[in-house]
Amino acid sequence: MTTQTIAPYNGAVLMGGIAATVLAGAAVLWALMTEGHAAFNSSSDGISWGLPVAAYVFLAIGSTGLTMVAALALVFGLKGFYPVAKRCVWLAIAMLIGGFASLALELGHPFRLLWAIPLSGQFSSPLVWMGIFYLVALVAMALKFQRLHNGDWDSPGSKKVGQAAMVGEMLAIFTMGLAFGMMFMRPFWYNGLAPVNFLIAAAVAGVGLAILVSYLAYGFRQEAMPEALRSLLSGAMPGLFATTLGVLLIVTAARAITGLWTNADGAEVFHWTTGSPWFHLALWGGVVLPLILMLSPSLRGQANMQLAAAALAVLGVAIDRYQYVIGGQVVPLFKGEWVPEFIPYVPSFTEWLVALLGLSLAAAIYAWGEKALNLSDSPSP
Amino acid sequence: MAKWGMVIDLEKCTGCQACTTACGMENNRLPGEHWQDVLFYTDGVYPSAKLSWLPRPCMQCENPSCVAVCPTKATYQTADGVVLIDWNKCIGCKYCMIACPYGVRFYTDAKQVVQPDLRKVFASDGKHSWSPPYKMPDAQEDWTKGIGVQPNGVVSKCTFCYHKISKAPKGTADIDESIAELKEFVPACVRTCAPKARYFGDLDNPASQVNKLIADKSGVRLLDHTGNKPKVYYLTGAGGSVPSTRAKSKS
Repeated sequence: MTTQTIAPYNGAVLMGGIAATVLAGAAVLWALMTEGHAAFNSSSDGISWGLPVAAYVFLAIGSTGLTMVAALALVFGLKGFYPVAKRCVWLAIAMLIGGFASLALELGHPFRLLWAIPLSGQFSSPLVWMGIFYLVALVAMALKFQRLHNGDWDSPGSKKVGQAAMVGEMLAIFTMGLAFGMMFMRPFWYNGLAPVNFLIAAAVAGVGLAILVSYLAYGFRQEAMPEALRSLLSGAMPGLFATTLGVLLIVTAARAITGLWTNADGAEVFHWTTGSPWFHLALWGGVVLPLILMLSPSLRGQANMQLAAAALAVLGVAIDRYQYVIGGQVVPLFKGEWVPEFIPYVPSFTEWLVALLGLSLAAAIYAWGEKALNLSDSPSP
Repeated sequence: MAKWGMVIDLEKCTGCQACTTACGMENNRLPGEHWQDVLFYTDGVYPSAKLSWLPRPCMQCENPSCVAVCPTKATYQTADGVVLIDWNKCIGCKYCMIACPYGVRFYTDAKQVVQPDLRKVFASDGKHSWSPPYKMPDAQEDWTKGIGVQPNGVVSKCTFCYHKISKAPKGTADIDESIAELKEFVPACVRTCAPKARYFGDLDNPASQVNKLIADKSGVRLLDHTGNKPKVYYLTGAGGSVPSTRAKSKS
């Protein structure tokens, strides 16, 4: 069955995305050419990875989450998720490209990376594995999308490509979790379950984004949606959303309580994070409130409640990842009295533009796909 | 093959920062980006306030986490155990700065701590991050070892003055400035230390002075529990101590 996408706001997203990408890209390149990374507020005194890395992490997490949602239909055969599968795969590709753009602008030598990592043979670094897995995932997702676009949803070959994309994405985000979680010198990150934390955040972001773009594609009107999509949004999707939010709440609470209790050197950063209003916005606004909305039988099926829950949860994941990336660095490592107990960090204007560039590039690629690639397509029954 | 290590006697160290200055001059450091620094710590309030200090070069770990995380092998360990950075391979991802437990790595391409920004006062020749008015001879510059004036977009750190110590005669137990023929091979921070609080030698040589000092005066290593096994040892004696926490004292 092929449905016609209404997407009344897609033109605005496309034009806005392109305009923001061009303007932010030009401003960032100008800043990098004239000031270099001095245009960033990260420094050798502690905050080495700033907002651009947090933006990359958020976009990569979103990409993995969307792949997981798409995989429910394309890998595990849950046919109810077909109406969002193609859109999720395309948005996953778009977000990954946006994330790479954000990361590349943060690196000192992004082009050197292209030969230095493949030739290094350095397999003890999680960044190498993350690069390998993301490369596999991106290629597999592009191939899978091509198959979907050609109407090949379920052939054995198409399924294998889909499996490769899902495994690649999940291994990549797993490895990203390791990249932080293995850092024993930074108690805020050091945790063998950090990859699980990343996977759960990805699931929440993926479901939230899938809901958001489903509504966006149909002008935020359930009645404009095909029956199969309406049925998904009134049935399995809110239940899945509530489940992922519930698990995220448990993980977030366990981590925060452990961190606040411990006296381990460096773990005082948990007081810094939990003392921040952003933490509470991410926890209460981004996890608890959406969970309540999705648990309530009378509210979970309402379009505005689903939209509110999805937007809050995605925003919550973004804030939480920012706090996660920065939080691991705010307690200085042997800087004496030169720096305070918690290193202050506010992203510079250029860093905000890098994050905007990553997000707007992802939005523009997504909206172009919405316009040209019939993302509402589903397999014929 | 020697395993070079350093011993710092905190009972002798006066916190004068001569080592920091000598390192900066020897290695063309920008002000504020001190490969070698003396960290000051205050604790308590008058009349029981305490001021202490800790000289902090790169710990040149035996099991360096910075080497393990580097995705391009730009950070590597030489056969004689010194951790160096190949500036031709570094992509500036700064993961090594994240993974170093001691905060001894620097990314030059960032806002400068000390103003005016000397990179603007002594502008770059295009190849380096700046053109310092005084610098080591060009012949000593070796980007494969992170020696010389740092280029943009890469990370740098203390090399134990590898351009000096690597030229010491084989079999040398201690590279000591009091031995005339070894003077030129002594790391800048060691050679300049007025109270002679620093010693440099072969940790694998049982007869070396550094080994004797570590054994006789119970040398300790910073954050030993991390398993990184620093090759910089501190002698705390009766008057000194290493900080128990990574940040300034907890409030």
